[in-house]
Amino acid sequence: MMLRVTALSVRFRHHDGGYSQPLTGLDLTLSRGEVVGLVGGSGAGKSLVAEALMGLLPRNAEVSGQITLAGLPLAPGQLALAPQGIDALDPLTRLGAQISRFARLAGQPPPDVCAALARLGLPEEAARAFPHQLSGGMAKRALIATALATGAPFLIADEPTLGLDPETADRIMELLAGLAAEGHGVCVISHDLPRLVAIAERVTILQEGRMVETAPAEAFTAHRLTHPFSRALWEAQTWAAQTWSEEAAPC
Amino acid sequence: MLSAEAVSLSFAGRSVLREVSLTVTPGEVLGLSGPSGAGKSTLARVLSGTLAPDAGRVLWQGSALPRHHPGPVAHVPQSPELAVDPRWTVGRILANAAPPDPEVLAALAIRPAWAERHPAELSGGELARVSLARFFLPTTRVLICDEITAQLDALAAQALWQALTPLARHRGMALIVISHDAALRRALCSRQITLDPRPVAA
Repeated sequence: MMLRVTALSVRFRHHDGGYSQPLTGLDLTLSRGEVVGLVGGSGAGKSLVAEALMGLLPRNAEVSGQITLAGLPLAPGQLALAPQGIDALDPLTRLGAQISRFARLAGQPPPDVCAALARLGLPEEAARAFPHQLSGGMAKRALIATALATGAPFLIADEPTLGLDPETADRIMELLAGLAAEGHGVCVISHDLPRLVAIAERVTILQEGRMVETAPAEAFTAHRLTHPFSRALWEAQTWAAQTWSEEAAPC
Repeated sequence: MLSAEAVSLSFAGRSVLREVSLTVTPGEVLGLSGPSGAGKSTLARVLSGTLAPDAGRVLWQGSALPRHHPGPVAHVPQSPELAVDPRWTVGRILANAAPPDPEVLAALAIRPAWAERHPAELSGGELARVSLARFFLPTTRVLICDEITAQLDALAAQALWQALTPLARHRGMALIVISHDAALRRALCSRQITLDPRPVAA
């Protein structure tokens, strides 16, 4: 079963009658059992793709292109999103109740909240916590727990390792790879290229709303990327280690 | 300049900070690390005067941290989406505490076109830069950068740090860099501290 996105474009109608078009002609495929990556510069339209696929854009957005699952229009409940911003958590509801709510709205049986939290390395007590009582990294993982509670076969994780320490980031990427191994289709939006290419089959690179290439993951490590922007993005990963190592005292 | 002396803080019986001490001197770049939930952001709130510690004290030039706002210590929060009023335009947000500084806006690659937009109309990385700019004020002497480039791609992160650190140094501003990126901390910071990861019941 394949999720196929063809020529996806998004434009916004403004109050003055003008338009802006932050996304043009994106093609993407995602099969069950695989992880694919979506990367690009800040403001390139990565989260916009997720919101367009989920139908979350505001009313002044015009979405064109095809989004199909096994050849049919994508139906609700097939795709879940773990959003980037922790403001997506309900500030007035305890975490356990939020996870149960996502399961209920998706027509799933009541979930084992403790197991759902443990899967993401969150302690049992987190079930009774309100979002403001969690650290940034814990809240990010809670968002993934709510998305998993829906039981949807396809998942988009928007910056899943944002604000996580290296060990937890590794663990989350392993979890996403594990979900794919269990038969989910997982699309990961991330700036964390080294961790992403370690689990993804292929990665689509966006630059200012247009895709510049879709490269197999091994093209990154083998330095076989075709587009200059993709190469610059990959090479910038190591800048902190390289660029300033020559300067003895940068501060 | 800024010092914390044996600062401790508990939330609902759970000890988050246990006798943390540090000093920051003008122009210094100090790294702060520790696992998720170790209390890094909580320490930032204590240092900026947002939270009062249960024990210990925070001193600014030898006396109590000034209560006025904006104070000398600014904490750029980790989640910019929670730190801005969604009903305000970006232009209004940027002008909230002081007139926007063209040098800071340029260093952070903030585009004039964003001024009319609302936070929801910016990407995560764009909003992170706006959030940073509004804390980089003429009165700011210590800027606590809480995972500020986590939402940026590597190219943009590189450009931001290469613009921000010289600007801060030039103004004699100290930076406290909270980041999980060990290579980044090594590149930026002259000194680093790590928070004890083990939570202990108080």
